[in-house]
Amino acid sequence: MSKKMIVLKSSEGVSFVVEEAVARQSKIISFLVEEFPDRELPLTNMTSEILRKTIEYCKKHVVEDDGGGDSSSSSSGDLKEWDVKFVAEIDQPRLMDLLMAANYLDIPSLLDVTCQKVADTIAACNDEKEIRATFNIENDFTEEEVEAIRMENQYPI
Amino acid sequence: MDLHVSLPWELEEDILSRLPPQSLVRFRAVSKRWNSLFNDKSFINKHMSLSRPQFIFLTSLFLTKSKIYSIDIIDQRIKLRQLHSSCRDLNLQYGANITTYDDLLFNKYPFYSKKETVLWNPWSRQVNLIKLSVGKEFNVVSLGYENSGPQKVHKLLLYYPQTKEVAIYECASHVLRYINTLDEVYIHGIDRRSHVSLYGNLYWIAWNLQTRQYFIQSFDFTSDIFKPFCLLPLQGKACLSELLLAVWKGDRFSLLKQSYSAYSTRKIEIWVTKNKIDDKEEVVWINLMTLTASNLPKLFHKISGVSYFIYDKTLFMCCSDDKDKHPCIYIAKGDVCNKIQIAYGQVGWFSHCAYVPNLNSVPLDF
Repeated sequence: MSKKMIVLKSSEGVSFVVEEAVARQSKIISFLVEEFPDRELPLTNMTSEILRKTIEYCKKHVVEDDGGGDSSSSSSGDLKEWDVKFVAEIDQPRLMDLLMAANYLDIPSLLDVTCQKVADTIAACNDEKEIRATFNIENDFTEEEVEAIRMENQYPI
Repeated sequence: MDLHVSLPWELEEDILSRLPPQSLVRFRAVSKRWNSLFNDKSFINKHMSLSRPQFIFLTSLFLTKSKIYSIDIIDQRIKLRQLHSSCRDLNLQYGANITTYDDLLFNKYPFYSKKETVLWNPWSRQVNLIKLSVGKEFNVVSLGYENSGPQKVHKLLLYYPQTKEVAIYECASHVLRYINTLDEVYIHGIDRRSHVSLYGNLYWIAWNLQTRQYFIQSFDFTSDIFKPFCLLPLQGKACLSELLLAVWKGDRFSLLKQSYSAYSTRKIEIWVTKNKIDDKEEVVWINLMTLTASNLPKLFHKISGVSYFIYDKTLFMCCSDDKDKHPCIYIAKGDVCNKIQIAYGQVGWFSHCAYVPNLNSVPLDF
């Protein structure tokens, strides 16, 4: 039995042909496929690079239904390991793009791993200056305000 | 890419709620928005619901200053972290006792040494040293609060063993008031009985001499009265069981039960209340799990007590080893139990409790 394919189009107009089961991990695509069957789905806010990454993730996580109940292509331990490697290989700006894509396409498991990776990156920072630099956050505090905050948490650990 | 501009605030909050509390406290000064999370009760609650429980472990050798550690357990390994080494307010003395009060830590000192107690949170790094101006050397039974009005009125429940007097001490006003109590309340025994604090009230496991049944006794800090709260899920010779009460999921009770009549088995049962604890509904207990490993510790008569929590369908316990009395962490699931010795040097006196790390601020208005 041939698998049903759908076409996703990135912001640069590049088309990606994907198995429907793979793409349906996105709740948004799942909805769109039912509303507009046999149509190309334009994802105008996603670059080819990010879309390719997202599809790579979905391919790995697709649960194949071959008649005899659900069977994942990998064991859950292997998948976890794969996820860790997957996000480790992505640089910070692209990780944020991927996180946004997961949020936009509504892929809960991808959103979870990308959020966790960002959280780990923040936890690994040495001080607030490093965080501001890494994530391009503006410091809206005065020196006095920073001092006042430190006073609120009285003792060092 | 810019975290500040591009991420919706819900996502940024989601990410930050995954950080350990010590990182969040360190990074309060990143921006006003990050800092605002510390006054956001819904964020604090969300963060706490994602927190992995830990043990807080207090130890001291005679005539030396105590040390306090947090013990995190991840993947069958324990991580010790010494807390507040430079905090002068927590000048803990030998014999101090550590317990939880709502979502905070509460230390009780033996009253022959100090007329004070400490309410603190190592992760929001706040301390309230409560000094009592009372004439007698009362024992502090518990801290609680009256929650009928708009503001919590914090009170201490005190006991004076020589005359068996029970009193309420209002922390802010320093007013001491003696209250009547029934003989069967056995208030002097509370410290040795398993007890918990929830929503400002105190609950502990008590024994009814007439009916020969264990039950949960409570002290209501709003009306200042002792009252029986509910029965326990026990059948048969329940008096031969070790029973330990704890707070489960923030608003329920859990009960750990190990019978010590049958020496051949060390089976532990965990029961939990189906609904959250309040005065409205009748308490329904359900059996959450049964642990059957043959190397579980014997919990009867552990001098330094037993503390526990349930996480990820696993029972985590802190108590002394059956033989050499060294403090250990036991991790039990199904028919498997793993024991890890807490390595902190020489064995002295110790006290411990289970704690969910959180960012709640310590009330400092008394």
